[in-house]
Amino acid sequence: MDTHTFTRRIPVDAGYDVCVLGGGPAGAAAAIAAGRLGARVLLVEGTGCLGGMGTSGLVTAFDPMANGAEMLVGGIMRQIVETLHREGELGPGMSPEIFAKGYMRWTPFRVEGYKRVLDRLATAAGVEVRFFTRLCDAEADSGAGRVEGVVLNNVEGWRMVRAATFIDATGDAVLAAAAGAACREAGRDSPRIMPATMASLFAGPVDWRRCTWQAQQDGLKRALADGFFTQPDRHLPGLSVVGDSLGYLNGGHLFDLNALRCRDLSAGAMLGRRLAKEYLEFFKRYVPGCEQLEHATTASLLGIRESRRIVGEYELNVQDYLARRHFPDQIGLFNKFIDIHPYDCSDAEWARFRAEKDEPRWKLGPGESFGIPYGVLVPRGWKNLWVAGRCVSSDLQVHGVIRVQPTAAMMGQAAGTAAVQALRHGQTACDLDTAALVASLRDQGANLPQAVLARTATRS
Amino acid sequence: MDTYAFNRRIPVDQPYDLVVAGGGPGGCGAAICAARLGARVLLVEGTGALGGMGTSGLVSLWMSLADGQRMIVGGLIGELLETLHAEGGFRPGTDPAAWRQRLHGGVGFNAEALKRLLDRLCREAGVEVRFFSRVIDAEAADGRIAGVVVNNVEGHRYVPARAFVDATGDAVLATLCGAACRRAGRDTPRIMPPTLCARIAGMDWSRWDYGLMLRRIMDGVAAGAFSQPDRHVPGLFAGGATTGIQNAGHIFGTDALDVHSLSAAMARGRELAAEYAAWFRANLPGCEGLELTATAALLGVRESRRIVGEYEVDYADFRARRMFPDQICVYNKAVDIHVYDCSDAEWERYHAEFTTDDRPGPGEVYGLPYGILVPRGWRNLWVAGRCNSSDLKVHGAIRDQPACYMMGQAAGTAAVQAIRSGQTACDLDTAQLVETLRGAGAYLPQRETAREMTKKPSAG
Repeated sequence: MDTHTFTRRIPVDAGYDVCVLGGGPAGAAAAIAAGRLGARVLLVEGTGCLGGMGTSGLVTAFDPMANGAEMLVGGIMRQIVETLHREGELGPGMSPEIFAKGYMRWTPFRVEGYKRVLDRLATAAGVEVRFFTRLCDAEADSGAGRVEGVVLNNVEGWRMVRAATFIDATGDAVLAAAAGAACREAGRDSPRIMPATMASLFAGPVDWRRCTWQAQQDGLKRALADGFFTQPDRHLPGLSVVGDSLGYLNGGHLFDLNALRCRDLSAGAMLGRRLAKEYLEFFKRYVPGCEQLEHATTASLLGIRESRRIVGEYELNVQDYLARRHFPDQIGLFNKFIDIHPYDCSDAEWARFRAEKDEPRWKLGPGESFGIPYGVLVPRGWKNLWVAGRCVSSDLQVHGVIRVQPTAAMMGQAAGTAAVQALRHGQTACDLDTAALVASLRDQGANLPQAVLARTATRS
Repeated sequence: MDTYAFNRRIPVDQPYDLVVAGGGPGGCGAAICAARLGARVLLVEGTGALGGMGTSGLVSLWMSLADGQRMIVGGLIGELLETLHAEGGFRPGTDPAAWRQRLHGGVGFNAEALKRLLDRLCREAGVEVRFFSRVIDAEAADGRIAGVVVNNVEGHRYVPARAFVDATGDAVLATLCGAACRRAGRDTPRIMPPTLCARIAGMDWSRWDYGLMLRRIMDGVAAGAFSQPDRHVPGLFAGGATTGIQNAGHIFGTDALDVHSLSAAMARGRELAAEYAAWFRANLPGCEGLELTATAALLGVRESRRIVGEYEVDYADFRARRMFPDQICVYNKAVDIHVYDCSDAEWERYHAEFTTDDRPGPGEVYGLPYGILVPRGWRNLWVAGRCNSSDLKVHGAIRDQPACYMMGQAAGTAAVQAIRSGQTACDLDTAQLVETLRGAGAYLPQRETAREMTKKPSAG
């Protein structure tokens, strides 16, 4: 292939303690945590808001944060949910009974309230946020396991940013890959790619007493039998109430979409919009109470579920999950089921998905939880680079559990805290004092009940 | 200042006829029309949707479309209007006289319908759309661009082409190439403030009274009801049965070319959007159920940077309702320079310019000549959209989406003509251009055409 030699002298910004790439749930939490600890933090975000999948992606419901007995999720994520609740920005009918106690209960929220809460928290933590700024490239010594700087681009042009530590919260492990860290790519290192979705908000009036989850599933069956959809997709997560006249739809799958390919993303965005319209018409025709629905908006980012993950110091696996394993160096607890959306519309895939989601042998019960150990955040052998969010190190099945917003936030908080600790105490990412990390996270309100701590991380 | 030597060998794409930077109104006009003429077109767009300010910016309203007797906008924008109408993209019951006849008539639309329509028109015309991609640099010399550097999740790509259209709104590509530009706030004393628009739902449009809104805003400002005493509130506009957009709240002192100012403006814009939505809900009939659905993904930038073109259309041209032999569209919107601050003087200045001073009356239009699209002396670069070459006042009038679509159509058509004939941008046969545009449905009522474009060295 033909190449073009491209040379520029670009300005350098230096002096940052922590540079966080990506302002989604993980990146925002990482930046807020680091900022609160007094570090000089730069948060780089490609869109014009924080919150990633929860805002630009319109996935406006938080996955289960409690296990029927207690709230598993603590720290910044807990603070966010409690703030949204206090300010009336959760969906109608939401209460601590649900988000702090419920078993396998989702918490819908109003997207604008969430965006504003994150803006405020980042500002209060002293984080410098650069919106509409993208990571283009990196300067790294993969042999030494160090990132030297990141190359950014925005309306001002090119900028090289040097920082002591870096957190890749891009979702696609963009920085990790650019720096030369080992990664697993869906579709290359595993045979299939979990489909994406373009989420929507629909506007009412909706009669929510009639538009129940069951009514939606019944309507789906009838529509499938009628051959209504262009894709005979049995998996409809459904329409949830987020406002008096607003519903959030997570529906319609973009199969075989490789989020690392511009062609797939572009075609996916267009197909996603067509599918969203198709689902709007489905609801109007087949689901009682939805006859007057209008399309409010589709998401500005595709809801990517899987793309690229690092190979970490620890790769959390399904045996750990099924054993309900707790770790001395765990940085968060969770209990959601294995949620790997069907790879296609076949019977086999539908059966596989349903089994993982519903069967007792796959699922954690009320009161149970598993731990997420620190090592999933660290590309193996790297000294000043962490990842947080869906690109952490896990096998396929556990990835299906922990790829969601509340876990991303817990991981981000841990990464941000770890980065500051490494900087202040001369430690490295791959050899961090995890007892000190857990103590620090507990001070920040993280829910980490392990009885025994450990100086060194659990390693694969 | 410390600099970094950025040196990469980047892959090269197969050459295109035309690369269009930016998928907003200007870019879509250029790309679709050029592709329909048989050119191989690449359209590079940073978000995941086409339509720019009308979709990602949620300024889902097109105004000043007719002169009291006939529609004055034609070509692609005329096609978009009629197609959206036929496909239910307007509020039910919308009277087509709004765009086909009414003086300064306008229509609100559903942004989702426009996104899907532009997706479809690009696909049908054969435009290659790369979403989530940005033009970040260019190789140019002697008034000619050889290629541009495009960046996205795949990294950098060098794209050679024969012609280029800068539809970035901020004259990004023109600036990268060293074309002369006027930057608001540097070359002019002040910058028109942007607004972060929002999608709203839950409206009872049958009881909405725009005139009442204007009066209540004045009362509210006098009573100190707002965080800033801004009398200039464009307000709410219907786009569906219960949905629409909110255009309210100026973020004064924003420089959209400064990433920190731009970032702060997004956060402030979200606060203002929430403030106004709550105020409308509490104070105006029809708004009792109003819900703020989502703020826009892009800031509604009104002014940033414009090229210095082969012709700079000015207020004298506007007042004289000048017709040009080489005009590529006609328009009739009044000078619309939003208040620079909340002073009485500014309110009076804005109001006079927009509602009385030389506001085009029935049957009156002014022409926009071809030369406003061409950076002076450039051979294969055009601009389309708000970064055209105009003085402050005319820029205030012609920065709107309908004019941008028409400029885009002209730029794309000119690019194809240049490629096929061997002509250059700055020496194009404008008689041929006008004929081609007329053949595509553009309304160009000039009695004579001319081989040579109208050139005028701009002042200063």
